[in-house]
Amino acid sequence: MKRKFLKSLAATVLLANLPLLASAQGSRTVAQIAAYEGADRQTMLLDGAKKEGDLMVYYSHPIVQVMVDAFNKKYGLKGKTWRGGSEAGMQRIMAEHKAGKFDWDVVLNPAHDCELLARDKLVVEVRSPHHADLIEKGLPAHRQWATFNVDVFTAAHNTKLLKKEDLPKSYEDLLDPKWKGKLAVEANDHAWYGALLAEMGEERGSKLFEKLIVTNGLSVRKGHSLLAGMVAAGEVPLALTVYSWNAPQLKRKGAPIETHFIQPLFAIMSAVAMSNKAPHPHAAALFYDFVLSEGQKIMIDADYVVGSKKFETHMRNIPYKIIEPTEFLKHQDKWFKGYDEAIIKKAR
Amino acid sequence: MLKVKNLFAEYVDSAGRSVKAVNDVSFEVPEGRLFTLLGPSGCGKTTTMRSIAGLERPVSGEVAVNGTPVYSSDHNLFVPPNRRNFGMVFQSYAIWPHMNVFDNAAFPLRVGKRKYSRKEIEEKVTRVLTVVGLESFASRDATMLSGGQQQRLALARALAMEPKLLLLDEPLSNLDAKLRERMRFEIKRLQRELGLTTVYVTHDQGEALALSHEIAVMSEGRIVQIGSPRVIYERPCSQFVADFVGLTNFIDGVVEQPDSSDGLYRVSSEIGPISVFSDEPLGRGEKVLISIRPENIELSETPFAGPNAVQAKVDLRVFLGEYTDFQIKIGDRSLLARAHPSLEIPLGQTLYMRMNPNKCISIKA
Amino acid sequence: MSPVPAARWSLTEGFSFKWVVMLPCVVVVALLALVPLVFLLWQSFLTSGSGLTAGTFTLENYASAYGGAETIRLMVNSLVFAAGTSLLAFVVGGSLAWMNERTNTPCKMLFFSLSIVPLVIPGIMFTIAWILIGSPKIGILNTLLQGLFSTDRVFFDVYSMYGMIWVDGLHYSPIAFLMMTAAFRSMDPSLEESALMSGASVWRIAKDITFKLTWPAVFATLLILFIRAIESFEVPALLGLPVGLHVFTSAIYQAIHQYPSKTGLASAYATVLLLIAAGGIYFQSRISRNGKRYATVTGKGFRPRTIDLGRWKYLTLAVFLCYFALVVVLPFLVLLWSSFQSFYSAPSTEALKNMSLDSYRFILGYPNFSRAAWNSVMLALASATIVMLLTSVICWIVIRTRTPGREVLDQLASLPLVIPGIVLGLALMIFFLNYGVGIYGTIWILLIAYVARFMPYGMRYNTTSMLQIHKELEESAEMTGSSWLRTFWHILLPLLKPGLLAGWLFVVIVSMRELSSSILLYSPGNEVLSIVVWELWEAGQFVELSALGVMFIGVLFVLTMVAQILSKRFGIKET
Repeated sequence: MKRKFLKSLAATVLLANLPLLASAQGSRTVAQIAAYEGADRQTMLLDGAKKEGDLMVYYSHPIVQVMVDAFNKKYGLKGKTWRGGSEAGMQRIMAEHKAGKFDWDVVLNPAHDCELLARDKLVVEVRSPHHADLIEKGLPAHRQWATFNVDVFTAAHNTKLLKKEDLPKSYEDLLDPKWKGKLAVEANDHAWYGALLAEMGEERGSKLFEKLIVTNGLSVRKGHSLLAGMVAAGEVPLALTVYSWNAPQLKRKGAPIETHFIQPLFAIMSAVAMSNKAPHPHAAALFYDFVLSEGQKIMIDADYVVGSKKFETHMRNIPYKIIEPTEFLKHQDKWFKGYDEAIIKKAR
Repeated sequence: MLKVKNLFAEYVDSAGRSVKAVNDVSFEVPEGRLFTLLGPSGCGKTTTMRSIAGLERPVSGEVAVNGTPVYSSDHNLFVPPNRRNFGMVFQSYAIWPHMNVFDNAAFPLRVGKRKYSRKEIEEKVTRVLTVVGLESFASRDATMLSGGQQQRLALARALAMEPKLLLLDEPLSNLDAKLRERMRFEIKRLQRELGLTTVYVTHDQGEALALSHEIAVMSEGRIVQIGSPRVIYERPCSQFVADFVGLTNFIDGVVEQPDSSDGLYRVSSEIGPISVFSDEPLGRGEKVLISIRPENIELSETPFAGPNAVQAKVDLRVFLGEYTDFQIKIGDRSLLARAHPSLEIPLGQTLYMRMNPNKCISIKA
Repeated sequence: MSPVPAARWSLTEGFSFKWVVMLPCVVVVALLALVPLVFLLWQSFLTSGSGLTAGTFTLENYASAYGGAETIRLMVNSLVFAAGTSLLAFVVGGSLAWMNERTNTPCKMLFFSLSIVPLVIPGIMFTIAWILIGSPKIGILNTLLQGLFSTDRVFFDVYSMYGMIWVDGLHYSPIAFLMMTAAFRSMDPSLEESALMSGASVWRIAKDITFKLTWPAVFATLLILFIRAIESFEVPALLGLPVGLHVFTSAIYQAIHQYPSKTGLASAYATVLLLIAAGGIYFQSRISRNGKRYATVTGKGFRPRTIDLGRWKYLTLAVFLCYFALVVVLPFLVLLWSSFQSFYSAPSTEALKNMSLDSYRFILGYPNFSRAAWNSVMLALASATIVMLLTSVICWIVIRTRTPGREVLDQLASLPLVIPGIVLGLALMIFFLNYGVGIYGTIWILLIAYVARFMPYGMRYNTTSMLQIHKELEESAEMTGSSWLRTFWHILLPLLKPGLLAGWLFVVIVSMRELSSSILLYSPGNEVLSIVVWELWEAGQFVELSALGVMFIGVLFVLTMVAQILSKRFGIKET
């Protein structure tokens, strides 16, 4: 009897003090906030965010601004952004870190960049309820980043210049002389090339591309959006490496461009990560969650392929292989060199 | 040889007004003569010369050389300056700093219509450099020359092209006094030797008198008087000319009656009754302005006999080495007289002056 | 005119007020030049390190930069491209400057303003416009001519070395125009008139007299053009990359735009550029030592007079019109056309039906647009003013005094020219992260970057102007008892006006376009227009970019007209 009473007394005291414990946020570390798994995570984070200053998000992917705006609107907060190329963001983070400055809260960059941040111990493990929704490769074991976007490398063609019957079904089809002067790839897609060659067989793959360049030539453009724009304009009838969302976005504006799939297809992921010295940890974690939930809807509406399984993307029936960040980082130098030698230097 | 007829030239000043720089200027220069345009700055002499050269486009008029017009507003003719074959020396010499002496002088021969061989050019240039005394400087950098040397180079360059007409725009104004005097002789000697028809522009009346066969005194765009140096100096036709060329004293007077000799008149003046000379007939009671140059006033400690002898007092005395300037007072009037330096009359003392009536020129008031 | 010995600097001179002004200027310039330079050299000897591990000493960067046969190809391409571009830009810009300043070609003021417009157009825009004009497949020029002559032949392939030279050369001809204009404006006309009297044709005068006398300006212009071309990024990236024509900047960009950045490698590549620039600047200072040779403003009171071309002036008028058609009107029309579309497409009747003003609305409603525009304008005005004043003081020290070490000062002030913008940005970012007091993350770091970046241009403009002013003009002021500061402010600066104004205008324009340094240094609230341009570019929104380009050009055109009017009122009058 006494035991039971004492237990319930303890429980009551504990329960009574829980709000107090919850409100003693100052004592919670960034890591703790990020890893908080209570049911009231959302409210806890929101309450905390309201008391913090403005959130700071570093990003490279254009859609993130839209997400931040929606986030601000929804929660009445004033999140700020800094946008640069993915490497610019990384340099900024590193430089600031070395100087002992910690301005940023959340970063959205290619997944392999986030993996590097994890390796350098700059980001924190997050336990978001939305992790469960992620695709298989979307969450690494250490949970220090999570995929919000998947960029699938696809081909795209100009519908006025090429009819569906003319399109190649495999990479070998591209050797047909009718493709002379009509092909292009993007300047930074060494990962695609490396993965493709690994799949095809190094020997076979490199010979194929060598022959392709000699007979038909392969032009190189800088920027996937530019490349897609070139396709729409008719400058490049068939591009081999645009992202799966490039053509649909242009199509909305009425451009004569259509995605085309040549197997095997590959993809790389973009991820969201939170700084382990985030100056506004509640807002940071709140935004992190937002990205993985409502943010995904925003992206879907804009034709992106997202990290969440909950949504049907335009790639749902089409098989593709994700290049994992660890693979990427392992082979990146080799792939870079290979792409440079085989494609970039021989462009024409 | 050079004929300028009814030349009008204008320019637009900073306020947007049109200013008549050259207002109906006409003159002729016979072959081989040196003709000077003399006047204060702004009188239009430089604009006239630049119009002759073709560097300015006049409004109307005619410029002809040896009967062939190079500019005629009536016939809508304008020969560009680089086709007129006039040699010109600019006030600033305009020596090209990036070339040496030889190349500066050779330039007209290299760029003209006629093609000369290298040997010909070398001959001509050496000749012309020798004429101006720069033959040993041929390979020197043009910037390494002194002022006088640059001026001579500019002259050599103008002569090298064997021009029909030589135009000199205040060529001596940038030189120091001694050099100026020397160069004056050089230019005169050169011009007389070569017999080159020359138009000379200057504001320095000493230069004009020394060099010219004929002078045109200009003021405000017009020619006020044309004549030989002696005529301009001794018989100025207006107050402006008398005052601008050389020093002079002006005395007011009223004509009384003609005097004994031809051209002489008795005039009652500020310094008493005197005899003056006039080119044109004067009537009784006519107001005249009398110009008498300081060097024409004789001074003495003892009284003079003869016409135009007046008593005066020494007011100021300036010893100038070659002569002594005296400022003498006659009643209320002061006159400037010039005497041999041996005359030493102390200040305030009475002295006597005399003037030759033929040197007392009557000018229309 | 006998040579007069220059003012002697001696230790016994004692303290005079001018050092209060000169010393800070020297210090500022030294810092701005040395920080990036030191950083560059230091980095070139380090491995890139990864993340938090520092780099270690290595010579590998130099080995890989200069080791392979690849490098020879890079070097050859870069030199050919830079030489061709600078020559074309110089010939075009210099001839136009001569025509506008020294002859009686009509419509001078209008042409002056129009000649600067190409500079206004961001490199990306100009290049894209020319892709639309000269692309072998969809280029308007080609399709038009092909239709006209019923042939399949490609008349103009912009994706080639000559295409690259054409586009970049045309784009930078305004630099040559501005610099040569300043030189011509200060020339003593009697030097040309005496040539005229000597019987020389107008062409001969231009060739043998005018251009030879402005040789310092010619050389300075060529030097700047060459270095700018070597550093050029947009044209090689958009026109060269597709067909395998690589230059140094591509290699540098590749090295930096990956993570971890190979700043070491990039810095190693950049040292070549450094050596070229240093060599060129040293050569120019040798020429300027004999400054008297080029004293063409002697203060004898003159009106810069123009050569009467007679009937030929219609030919020069036609040349101007042709130039504008190619360099201004055509690209502008292409941009205008593009801005009314929903997406890029060559002119066609179908496309005509789909025109709209959507892209303009988009730009005007773009978040941060007005703030970015404001920032750009403020930064442009401030950096231009600071640069011109600062460099006029430095120029004075270099040219007019015998201070020991002044040649080094000249080199320092001109060095940032050769450090790629992106390396400069990186250097400043790291420096101010570690040492700055609250500068990092504000707009001041952008100002510092701009001043550092454009200081060399100010030096070139001021040097050529100052060389042309005979020092007697200042000395006479000194003799009247004027203090150094007074002389500087009241005599020298007004005389420098043609060069000062041209330089100021130039810096305003190029700082509005500056991208490669800004991209690393800006922070929220401190965006500039070029960042907006970059964002649109990255997002593939070229039609919106075109709308922005059209507005940009409009504003800048008005600006140059205004500057012209102001300079007429306060500067040297033209007849």
